Amino acid sequence: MSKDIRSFFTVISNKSSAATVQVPKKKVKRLIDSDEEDVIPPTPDNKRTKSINVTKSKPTVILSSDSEDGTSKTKIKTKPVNKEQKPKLRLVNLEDLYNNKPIKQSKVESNPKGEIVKQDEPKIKKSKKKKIETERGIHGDETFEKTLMELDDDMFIENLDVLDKTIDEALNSKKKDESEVKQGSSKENSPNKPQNGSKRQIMSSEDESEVKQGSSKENSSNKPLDNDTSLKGSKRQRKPSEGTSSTPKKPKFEHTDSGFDPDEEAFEKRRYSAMLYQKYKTRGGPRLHGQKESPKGNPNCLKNLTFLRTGVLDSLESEEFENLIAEHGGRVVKAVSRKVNYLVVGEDPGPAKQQKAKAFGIKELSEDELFDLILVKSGKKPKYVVKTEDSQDSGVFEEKELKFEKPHITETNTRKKDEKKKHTEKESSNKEKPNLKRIKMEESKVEQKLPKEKEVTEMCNKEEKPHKTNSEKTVKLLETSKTTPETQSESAGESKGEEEEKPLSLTWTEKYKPTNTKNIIGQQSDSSNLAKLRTWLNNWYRNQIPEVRAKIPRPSPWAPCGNGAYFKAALLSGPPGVGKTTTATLLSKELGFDVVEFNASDTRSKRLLQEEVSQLLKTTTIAGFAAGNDNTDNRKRVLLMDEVDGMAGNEDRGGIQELINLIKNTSVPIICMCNNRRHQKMKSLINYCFELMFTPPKVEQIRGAMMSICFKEGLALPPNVVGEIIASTGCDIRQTLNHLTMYASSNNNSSLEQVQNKCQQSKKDTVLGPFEVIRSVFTETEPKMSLADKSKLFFYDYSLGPLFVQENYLGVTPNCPKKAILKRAAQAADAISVGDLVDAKIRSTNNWALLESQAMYASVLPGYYMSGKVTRKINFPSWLGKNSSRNKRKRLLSELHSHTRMSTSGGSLALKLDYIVPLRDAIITPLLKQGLEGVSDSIKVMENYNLLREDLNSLIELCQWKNGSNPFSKIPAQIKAAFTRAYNKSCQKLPYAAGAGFSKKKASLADDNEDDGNVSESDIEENDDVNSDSLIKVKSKTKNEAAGTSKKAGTSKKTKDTVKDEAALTSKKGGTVKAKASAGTSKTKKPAKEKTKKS
Amino acid sequence: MLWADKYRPKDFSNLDYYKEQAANLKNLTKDGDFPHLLMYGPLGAGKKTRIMCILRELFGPGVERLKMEVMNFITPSNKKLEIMTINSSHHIEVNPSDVGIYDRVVVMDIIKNVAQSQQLNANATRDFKVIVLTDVDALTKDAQHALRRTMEKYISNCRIILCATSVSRVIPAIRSRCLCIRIPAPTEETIIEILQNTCKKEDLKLPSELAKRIAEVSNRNLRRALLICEACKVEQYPFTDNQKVPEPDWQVFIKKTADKILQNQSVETLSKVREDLYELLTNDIPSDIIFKTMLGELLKKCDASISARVVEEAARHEHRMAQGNKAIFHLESFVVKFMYIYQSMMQEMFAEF
Repeated sequence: MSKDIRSFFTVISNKSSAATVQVPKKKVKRLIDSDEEDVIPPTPDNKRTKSINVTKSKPTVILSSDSEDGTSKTKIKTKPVNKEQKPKLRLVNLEDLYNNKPIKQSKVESNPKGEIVKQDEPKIKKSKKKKIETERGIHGDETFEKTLMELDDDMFIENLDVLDKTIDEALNSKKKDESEVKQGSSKENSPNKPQNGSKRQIMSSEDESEVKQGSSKENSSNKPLDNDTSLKGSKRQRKPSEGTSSTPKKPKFEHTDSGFDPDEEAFEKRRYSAMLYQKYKTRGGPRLHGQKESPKGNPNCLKNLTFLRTGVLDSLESEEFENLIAEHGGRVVKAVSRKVNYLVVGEDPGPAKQQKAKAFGIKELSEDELFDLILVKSGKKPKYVVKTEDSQDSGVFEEKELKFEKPHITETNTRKKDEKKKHTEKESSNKEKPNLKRIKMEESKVEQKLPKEKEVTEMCNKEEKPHKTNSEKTVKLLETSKTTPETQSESAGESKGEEEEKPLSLTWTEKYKPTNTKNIIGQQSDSSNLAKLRTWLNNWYRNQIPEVRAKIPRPSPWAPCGNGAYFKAALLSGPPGVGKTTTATLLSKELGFDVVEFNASDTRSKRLLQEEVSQLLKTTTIAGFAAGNDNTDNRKRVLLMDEVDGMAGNEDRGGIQELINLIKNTSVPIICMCNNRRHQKMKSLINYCFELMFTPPKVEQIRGAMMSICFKEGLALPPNVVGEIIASTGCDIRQTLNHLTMYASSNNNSSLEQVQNKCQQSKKDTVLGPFEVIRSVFTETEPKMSLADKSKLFFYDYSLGPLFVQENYLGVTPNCPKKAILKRAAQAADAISVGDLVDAKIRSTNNWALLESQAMYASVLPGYYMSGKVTRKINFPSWLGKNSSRNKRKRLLSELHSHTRMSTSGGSLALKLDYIVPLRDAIITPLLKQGLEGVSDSIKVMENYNLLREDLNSLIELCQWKNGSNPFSKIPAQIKAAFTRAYNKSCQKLPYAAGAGFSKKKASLADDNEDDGNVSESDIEENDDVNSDSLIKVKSKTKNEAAGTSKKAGTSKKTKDTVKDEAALTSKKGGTVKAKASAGTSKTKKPAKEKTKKS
Repeated sequence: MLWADKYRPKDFSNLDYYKEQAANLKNLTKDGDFPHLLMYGPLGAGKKTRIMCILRELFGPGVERLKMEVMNFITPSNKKLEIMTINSSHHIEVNPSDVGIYDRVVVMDIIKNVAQSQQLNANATRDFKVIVLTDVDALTKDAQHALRRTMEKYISNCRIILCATSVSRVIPAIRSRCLCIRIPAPTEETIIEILQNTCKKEDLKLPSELAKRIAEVSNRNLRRALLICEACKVEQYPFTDNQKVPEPDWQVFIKKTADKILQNQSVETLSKVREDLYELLTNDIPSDIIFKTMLGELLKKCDASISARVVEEAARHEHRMAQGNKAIFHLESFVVKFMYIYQSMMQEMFAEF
């Protein structure tokens, strides 16, 4: 650090001639002369020496300056105003100067920073400051300073005196002087602590604690120049003074620092840190959370400032703090580094951080001070720190700012100090006016709102330096200064906006539609879809030449598409708002194609496609015709089928199929577009298309374009806000534009927070899958979910949700002692069971208003009881599967029941509970024990109970338990087959209609026929009778025809047999066959009978 | 044929027990008319048997010539449903709860149809038909309400015999329109006697010890007793006293599950128990039977100090189960609750030592 200082000094001293260095000194003196000469000389000297020796003392020095300002309490309200008034004059000049003259270089540098879009005042200021400094850095030589001087002189020759005075006042108000007197005396008297005390008393009499503290620090820091320990002592004093809650530990910590025994130190340290950790763990939230109104400053007032928070702030949670800073353009970091500009200290600050920060010389702020800083920076009155002395504080803050704005550039504290010194030097010297002016700019802005003339007059009166001409001038200048920057910026914005705003009626989406392919967001690269489509479209006609086409192999469906030469059509797919249609239309325009477009608003049924499209493709467009391109062959055309996935319903029936046909035979390229290429409807189409998938561009890609549109529209939105908006739309460019339109129309300066809120609202609801939902039901999230959020989880799928909860709540390890797990589970299960009651109520009475309470019972409460870690894999609810298998068994059982009903008493329940196992055993055991001999017994049982062969299977299934043995499987296959055969032969008579359902044959089957067993056989497979039966029907017809024509013809025995069977059947069964047989066949039956008789 | 069906009495005179009641019933039907009846009693007590006896008494052996018929009807939501009925020329037997929630339509449609149609056969013994409705306690409230008016309106054409296991789920309006006849389960002695008789008819020798054990296992369900007895015979014929008596498989399963619960109370066990409960439910064992059997098993091992609490919880959950949709939720909830109670009891006990 010390190096830095030196280098800084040396640099300056090298660059600026000795004269310039000396001049400031003189000026300092002069300055002092004007006020109280005796006191001041020591201070600069002291500072000089210190600055080299003790770098750490700088912050204190800075503070001292603050306190100095602060000490001027009584005069306060009027004086600071006055001081600030005059600076304003210079402010204007400064800007003018920069606008006009040598600053061009700096402008070039600063342009990228400026970013133009936001022309907030603070920014300008800052950028200008930077400019100045950079300039100084670059032209730190006489000539430059001279030019500056000259410039100033030109503007202010008359004002010079006034200027000096005002400078003096700004820096050294009378009170300050007093304090300095004291300082001086203290120094001269060698370090006197009692003096501090006396000062305090003096201060206390004036009711301003902070001021006192500041002064005390100052004193202490000034006194013990050479002594490290005393320095620390000063620190001790300072900490409490910062308004942070001073803990008794800090001194300890410093002790350790001051380095005694290393072991002891380490031990101490450890103990101390343990203590701190305990404290950290138990520390509470913000004391006054939400009770303070957070300041609304200009969005960029903290630009380039870096903040670090330690401890619990008074009213802000850490997130709110971050938001606040981010909202105002600042940056929040988590660890101390040299880049940090401010350390915001709350209650229970981390001493390590503070220590480090101090080591880096980082300025500490309390929360109130931070708020005021924001206000001050954005040109408002600070109002947070001790409200009685706002005006003074504003002065303090200006000072602070000045000192602290430099650090971002220099990034070292030492510089701060040096600059501060320089500051004074500069102030004293006319040559360094730019800096001065800067100061004034700040001040003037702070006070802009106040009525100027009054102040001016007041100032004149009070300071008794009435240069009326000057004051008048200042007034004028003030006014111009006020108007110029704003008007300039506005006019710039407007003029640009106006140029493009001529077609005002257009929405932004139309207005800023890309006009050529280069403007399409996210499609600039060579491998982009645009480029691919371009090559494809370019080569399309060439590829269609038969010889060329023959050479192109069909790409495998899994390989990446390549150039798509094989395909006659392209399919652009991707989410809405990424530019599919734009790409296609612009590209085809650019390549000189005539576009024929069909979208979802056109009917695209098969017929219409056939007629219209084919027609359209044959004719020329009017545009083409008008352009003289009546030669149809030369005219290239492209068919755009937009929104093909919208081809749906009756209107567009067969549309896709026809489209595919169209693609197969097309003579022009076809570009199809859809949102979801995985859609069922797209499946067939995909095979014929060159697929190009559009993915949404990244936020950064969109943001640039959006920012420029914002700028054109005069909508001042910081980039992070725009980014937020884009992200909330899921990178949908069109929707982003719509959102921006909305913001533009609402026209209030949206803060980051507001936008975040709005985005939250407008955010496309991210659809959580049931698995994620269940995870978040049971896991505790850090910002605890509100009850509404929790119950919202239930509503993702209120029919499936409870099942998921029930399925998975046992897989959660709740955050509780192991003993209590079962209790928690019991509570959760109880809630779930009540939830089911509510569910039943809802569904039975259609009282859907109860869903809310179901949400509580079925999701929120179990989630609450079991909240912890999901330790097991989340399963899909098994209830669904179990329920369906239960239903299946139920169905089997009821079928079995209906079959056995004639011979059993009791309902299906009794059947299930008691019958089925004995029944199964009655059938199976004979087979098991006696083998083939048992077959007849088994079949007898089957007959008694009117069972079908299938019923046996279902019987066995019903008896089957999980991992129980299946006796039926033990039966040898041979016996099983024998059993089946025997059963099929047995042709029992059933009292019911057998078959898949009993519905099929119920009408045709008579149940009381005594003789014929064939009735119910038709459904049994491999039944000979059945086979022959079906044969008969066929054969008999042919047979009969044959018989009709040639009776003599010998018929084979087999056919005779079948005919016989058939005849027998017809005679007995009557109804069924009659129904089936035609009149012709019935005629021919008689001859057949005769034949059989004869034979 | 299984013994239970083979030796089912077909006549009042053949009934083995409640002969007094049988006589009353016979008297009731003697003058050719009787009111609507509601027969209720546990499974395997002989309700159906007695109903058939009554019908036979009324119409003669014609009622035993049964046929099955499928009747079709269309629900108001245009859903086509069929239900199987068992008819004789004198009566029709329907179980409306076969079609679940559409039972009301069955009652309104089919039963009303049957009830409305006059007996046209001039030489019929009676001028009314009998409708037998089984599982009346499973009817929905709607169906029961639909039934009550039908019962009054068409009393000249038909009599309705209702058959239920428990009268508690039959609405009072119907109960008051019927003559309620309770058929209690036979005592164990009766069962033993019947088992002996049956075995005699089959020419088997049944040791009294075994008969007793069978009667115990059967839980006073005569049908079950007969079926178990037959199963024993299939298992091992020359009966021995200490022969293994096969219990119904579902009962065994529930016992195993209860053992699991008692052995170890933890979330892991609970997951396993849930599987078991699902298995029981998919096997279509009615959830209230699961509940009851399980509770019985659990209480066997419970200290008297907690059993009251356990029973209370069981009652609460069983009630919820009857009202709710998903039995597993309530079963599981009960199991966890029991585990919790049981565990804390055990811990207390250990703490005392």
